[in-house]
Amino acid sequence: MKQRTNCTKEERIQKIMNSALDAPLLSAQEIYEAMEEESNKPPKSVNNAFINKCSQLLCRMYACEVQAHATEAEKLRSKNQLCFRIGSRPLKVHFSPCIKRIIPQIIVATSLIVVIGIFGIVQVPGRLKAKPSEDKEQLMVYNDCLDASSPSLASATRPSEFSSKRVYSYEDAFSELGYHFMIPSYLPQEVKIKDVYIVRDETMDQITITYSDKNKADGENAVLFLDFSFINNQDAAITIAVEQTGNGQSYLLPSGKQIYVTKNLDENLAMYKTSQALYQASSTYYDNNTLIKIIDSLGG
Amino acid sequence: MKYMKQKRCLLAVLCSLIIICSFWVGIYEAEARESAYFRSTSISISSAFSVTFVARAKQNMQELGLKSYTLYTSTGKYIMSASPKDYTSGLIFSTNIDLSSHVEKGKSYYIKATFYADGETKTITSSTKQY
Repeated sequence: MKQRTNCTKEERIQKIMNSALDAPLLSAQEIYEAMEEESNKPPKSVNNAFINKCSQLLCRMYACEVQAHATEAEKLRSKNQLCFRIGSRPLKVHFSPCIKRIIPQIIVATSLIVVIGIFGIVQVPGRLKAKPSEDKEQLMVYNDCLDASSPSLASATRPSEFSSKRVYSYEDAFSELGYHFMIPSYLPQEVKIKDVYIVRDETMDQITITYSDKNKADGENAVLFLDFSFINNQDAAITIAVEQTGNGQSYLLPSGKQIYVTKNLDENLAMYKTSQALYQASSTYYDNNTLIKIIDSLGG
Repeated sequence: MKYMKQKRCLLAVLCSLIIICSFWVGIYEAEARESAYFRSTSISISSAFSVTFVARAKQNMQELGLKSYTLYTSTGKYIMSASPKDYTSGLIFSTNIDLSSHVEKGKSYYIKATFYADGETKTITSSTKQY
């Protein structure tokens, strides 16, 4: 912008008249003041050519100023836009300056919220597992796999209603059930029977024999489980889901028993099916070889 | 040059989000498989639609039991659900629920049950049973 010049009235008029339109010799303020001064003269003495020249100069200067402002605004606008490229076409997204300033903070905050959300969910098992997905690794056993049409051990003296009971020896369990089930002839020396839990209903008997280690200080803790399920009623829908990690392997033992061996995290599991029953041995203390020996010794 | 940098930055953020989300889904999937607490669970439906739920745990649980169950027709139509939150302490949980009042003669149904053990849940779906 032009600075104010110190010149006389005549010099000013002279400069204005000599000014090229695109290169005024005076400032807009001075031209305006000169034009006003001239127009305040009596009508007959007004120099119309001078007034015209002043107005042309002012118009031109104003137009330049508007353009300059527009250029400035455009620069400001382009500063406040983010460019993306989708294929070969650039996509410009405009943000106000204050939003543009906080975009990095928005990105960081969003990432933090996502990370905190993820860890919040992962760390709280209840929340994650409140909506469990289908477990593809459960080993599902249905009563039709066990051929429930075969005469069952469990069919004899059984109550028609649901009952559950805890006893502390095989003999008490036989007495409670009214029949003998196969028990293992081989068990690790250090284990002793802790209890036998019996769940009975019209459909089947589920027996869990828990063993503890008699040599350990925490001898009351379970070290070995034998779970037996005896199907009673062919007209029932029985579903047993056995937890496992991945898929196990089947082995045919010299005794002719087909045994399925698998793992459930830290727990080893050996399983044997007959036409009427499902036998499982599981432990976090004993390896699969021991469990296979236990299952192989059933009824032996 | 400047918006190339911004583009790279945005790409990096997007990639990070995708990686984090995949990790999340992976954990979710893995978590739902083998079990830290459960050994096995079972549902047995008698001809009279008296249903026995059994859960067996690896170790003594403070809370072990049936969190909820839902009855569906064989076509998947929802019939009823309940959240008994019937928990006991110990190694084995068993309960029996009579669902005969919710079923109609000649129709087939199945049950989806969620068991609970000290914060972990396991869901199993029974086979279909005709009433």
